[in-house]
Amino acid sequence: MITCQTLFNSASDYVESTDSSNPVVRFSLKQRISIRFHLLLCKYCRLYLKQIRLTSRTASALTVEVTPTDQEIERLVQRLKQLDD
Amino acid sequence: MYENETVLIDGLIAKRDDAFRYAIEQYQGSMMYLARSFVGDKLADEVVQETWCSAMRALKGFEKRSSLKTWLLRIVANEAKTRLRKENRMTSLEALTAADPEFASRFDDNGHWGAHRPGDWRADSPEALISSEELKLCLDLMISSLPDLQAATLNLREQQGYSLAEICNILEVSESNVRVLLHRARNRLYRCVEHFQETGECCTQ
Repeated sequence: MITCQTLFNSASDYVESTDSSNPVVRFSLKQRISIRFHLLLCKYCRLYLKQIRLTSRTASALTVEVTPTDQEIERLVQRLKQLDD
Repeated sequence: MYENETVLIDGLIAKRDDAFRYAIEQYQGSMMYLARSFVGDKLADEVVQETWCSAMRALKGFEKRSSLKTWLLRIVANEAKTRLRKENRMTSLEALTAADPEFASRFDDNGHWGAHRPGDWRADSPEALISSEELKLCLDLMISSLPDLQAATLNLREQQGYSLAEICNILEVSESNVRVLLHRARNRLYRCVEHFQETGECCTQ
């Protein structure tokens, strides 16, 4: 059986493998079974995993819109036009 | 017509105003957001301006192995790294991916959670968490104080929605390192939320 520390170390990867529509991180069947089994028995790891997911979604919720002003765009256009080759 | 990237690139090489305007409108926001996370607000503008200039000079040699946007972001990341290295402010990858001692000390010799284990949070959605203005400010502060590559990885993954593979390409870091950087950054934020839940105070250490 895996330990809480092992689960902690792979938690972020586990979130990526389960939440992403096109995951880069893939766990083998054996790894997934060990993680599921551990989660079934350990309420602290269940809580940690839920909270790290929430933390990740909160970081996304803090996204701000960054848009250049018309003035900034024009200034940059002029600068790029004058670049030497 | 500039939705077609080949047409856009030709327009940029021909130095057409409308091509420049289109490219800036499309990509500047994302480039600026990445640069801010990397070098902070003050230097970001300079880094992005430099990126545009060097990108336009190099455009004829652009091999289209990635999208134009990814290529531009990669140059932003390079400019940012160069800038930080020049000022001796770049944190080594080893330091950024090393285990967090605070978390390591939470497990006992058998690898089980010790006395400081996860406790209940009084919120179960991002909206509920950041409805506390104080915690929202605290997290903003935490995110802006994350070190360079950790901050950039978090920004690209959580705030700009890039896949891990694209992040490797932009930051020129291996996939396993990107995964660790993301894990560390998320756990820094986790600790920040946890501390706030436990004490009602902001801690960004």
